[in-house]
Amino acid sequence: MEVTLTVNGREHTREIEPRLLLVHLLRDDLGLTGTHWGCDTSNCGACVVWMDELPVKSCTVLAAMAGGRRVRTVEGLEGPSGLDPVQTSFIACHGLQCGFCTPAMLMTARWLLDHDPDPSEDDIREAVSGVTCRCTGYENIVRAIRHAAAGGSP
Amino acid sequence: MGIGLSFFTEAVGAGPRATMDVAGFGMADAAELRIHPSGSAVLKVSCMSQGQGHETTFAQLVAQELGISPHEVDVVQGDTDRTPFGLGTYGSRSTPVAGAATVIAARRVRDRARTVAAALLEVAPEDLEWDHGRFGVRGVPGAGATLAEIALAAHSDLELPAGVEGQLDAACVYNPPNLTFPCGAYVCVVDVDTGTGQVRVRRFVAVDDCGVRINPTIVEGQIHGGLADGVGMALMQLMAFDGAGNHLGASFMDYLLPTAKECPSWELGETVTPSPHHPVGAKGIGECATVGSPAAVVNAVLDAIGVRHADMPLTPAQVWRAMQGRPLRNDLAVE
Amino acid sequence: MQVPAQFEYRRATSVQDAVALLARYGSESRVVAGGHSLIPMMKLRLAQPELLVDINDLAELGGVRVVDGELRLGALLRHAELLACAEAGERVPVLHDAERVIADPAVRNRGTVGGSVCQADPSEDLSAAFCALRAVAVVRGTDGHEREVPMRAFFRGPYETAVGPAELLVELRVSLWSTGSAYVKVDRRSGDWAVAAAAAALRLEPDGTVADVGIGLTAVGARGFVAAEAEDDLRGRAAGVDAFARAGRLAAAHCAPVADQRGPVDYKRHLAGELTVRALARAADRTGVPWR
Ligand SMILES: Cc1cc2nc3c(=O)[nH]c(=O)nc-3n(C[C@H](O)[C@H](O)[C@H](O)COP(=O)(O)OP(=O)(O)OC[C@H]3O[C@@H](n4cnc5c(N)ncnc54)[C@H](O)[C@@H]3O)c2cc1C
Ligand code: FES
Ligand code: FES
Repeated sequence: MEVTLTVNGREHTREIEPRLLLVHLLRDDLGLTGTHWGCDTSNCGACVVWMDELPVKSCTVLAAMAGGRRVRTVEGLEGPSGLDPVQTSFIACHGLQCGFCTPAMLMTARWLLDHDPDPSEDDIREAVSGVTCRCTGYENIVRAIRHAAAGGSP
Repeated sequence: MGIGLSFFTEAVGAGPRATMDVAGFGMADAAELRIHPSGSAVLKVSCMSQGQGHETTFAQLVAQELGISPHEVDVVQGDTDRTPFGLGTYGSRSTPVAGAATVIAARRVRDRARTVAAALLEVAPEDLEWDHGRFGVRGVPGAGATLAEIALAAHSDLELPAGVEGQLDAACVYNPPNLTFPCGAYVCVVDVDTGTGQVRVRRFVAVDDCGVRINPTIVEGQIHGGLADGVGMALMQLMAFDGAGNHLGASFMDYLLPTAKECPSWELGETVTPSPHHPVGAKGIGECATVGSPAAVVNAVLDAIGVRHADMPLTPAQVWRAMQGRPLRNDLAVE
Repeated sequence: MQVPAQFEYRRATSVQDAVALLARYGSESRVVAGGHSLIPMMKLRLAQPELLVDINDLAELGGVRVVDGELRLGALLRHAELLACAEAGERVPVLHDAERVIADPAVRNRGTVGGSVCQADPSEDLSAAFCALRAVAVVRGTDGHEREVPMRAFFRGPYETAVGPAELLVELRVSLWSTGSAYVKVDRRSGDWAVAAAAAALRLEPDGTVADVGIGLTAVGARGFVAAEAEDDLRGRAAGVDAFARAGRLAAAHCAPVADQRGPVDYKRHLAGELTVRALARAADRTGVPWR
């Protein structure tokens, strides 16, 4: 079947099998490997992207279901004036180590701050609780998101 | 509420190679350091970062020894076609072993730089004084050469003393004289819901001594991650098998990792006792927190429920069973 | 890498269209809503439909509102949308309690209320909540005919419901009889399925007498997710610690948990009782009627 979707503001049309998962369309067909894929059971959250402005696990969305919808991945986070404040804050606060969870964390953090510009530590922990991090113990991720909320200057 | 303590020492780095090996391989690691004519450096190491920040820490080691900026050090790793061979990154050993090799290679480069500088400045090597990136001539203020100038000279047509080849590079295969011994003291405070067996980690204070901290931010990051791992081991991770031998924890659905909600904000402290077995006094840190934290968490839970022992992991069911006087998990397979 | 087996994908343009597609393909067809139960099952090949009917475009199935003294939740209402609805949280707090502990925010952005109950997983949180509330499911068939199925007759067994092969769940209706309700869950970690959980809905007379009560249990093998014996015992008694403890004992006695990695049978039975007591107490607190 044919699917047309908008990814980071650009429209793409691809011939796909209905069973293709959105995460694999993004990574394998569109080459957007910033979105990671870490499990088969919808648990790790490494694959979180925005679909119609909401963070979702792209391994649990069929590419076909994303047809006609707007997808935003970590590649679409950087703005005309450079990296997004959540990105600079993750750098400034050592919010990543191996980087596997980072794209999902960034997309989740951006969404949180768009809806709650001044989240408490508990709000942040709740918001990112669907994305597991094996490296940071979440400490510097929470710090980075607080840092971004406070302006995100390096 | 319960409070748990743990004190630990991790034996890290491994060596000497004659007495410690992995399947007959001595536990050595290596570094090769090359200074370009521009004065910037390429360091090739036999270990590989998966996020532990070798690119930063090892660049700092070279920078510290040679008085250049860490930004001028390109760290190459992870491909034995391009790097020396070694036992690699695991068991907190990269800084104790490959890090030590890096420091020694840098010191060898410095020694060679002295010879080259002596030829360049037409003085005896003993008359040169190292001062942060520059060899100065003793007693002659202003006379001297920076590492970049020496590197350029080492690549130039300068007449070098007999026995000294050109260029500025060195290698080291490090044979550790001994292990390094990072240690720590951890305190964990938990709340246990005695009606359900659920545990919440309220506070966790970790004081680590990993010797000299080359990059404190990276060291803290390693500790944070290890503490979270320890909470996972203590409270939720189990390798169980069913009667037919099927692994019941084969996915993240049943092999649980702590989320941000199970982790408190980690509180860290430090003491610094330099290791006498490492050229800059550093010890390993990667695994330390995973050594100390499970015991602190388990001890806190035991303190809360007044039981002396319970097998890990302390899932709600296991805590409840321990409170019923059945603390052992002799049924690793599901009943 | 696990991927589903081959299937055909169709996007429904209306409820009528969806039902017609289901009717044409028969038992080999499946509706996909959020897909957060179905797609993982398809990856594991526990489900292998030949046709998937995507209902995500059907705006008429979304939304939550109060009509005629009833809370009406569209089948396609996302968990996150229910959680964001302050009125639902005020009128039936058990739903917000439950939603807060279902999976994680990303899953809640996608998973739907209708998909949850149609999945009929024995550990589904909303099943117990809706059963405690005596909600009613509205199901629509090929001829456009709607029938109402009480939640307590909705579940036919694990992964089996009263929704026929050519039918769609369109709405859940919750009459607002309860004046206090609550949901209490024990899990191994946030975002995990319940080890056990209890939902309670209460209507108390001003003197504290239990005028009506609903108790739902999940993950402990309670018949139809309901602790009926406990409800019968409690109705007409004065709300109080002793009465709730009796209800807890009855709930524990009449459930049938099975052992798994979340815990052994005796523990789960214990939780059925303990969580029933806690849910009742919290629900009673929320009625604003003094009790003890
Ligand atoms: C990581 C993870 C953790 C989770 N944790 C929990 C948890 O703790 N507690 C919990 O309760 N749930 C949990 N869930 C399940 C989650 O709530 C699902 O979203 C929900 O169970 C199913 O909703 P859905 O819309 O995704 O349904 P789908 O997967 O789309 O559908 C599920 C089933 O319902 C059928 N169906 C869907 N809609 C209709 C309809 N309108 N009419 C007829 N049939 C229909 C489908 O054909 C399918 O058989 C978890 C899911 C994941 C991925
Ligand atoms: S890849 Fe693990 S949740 Fe999507
Ligand atoms: S930085 Fe490695 S998983 Fe989060």
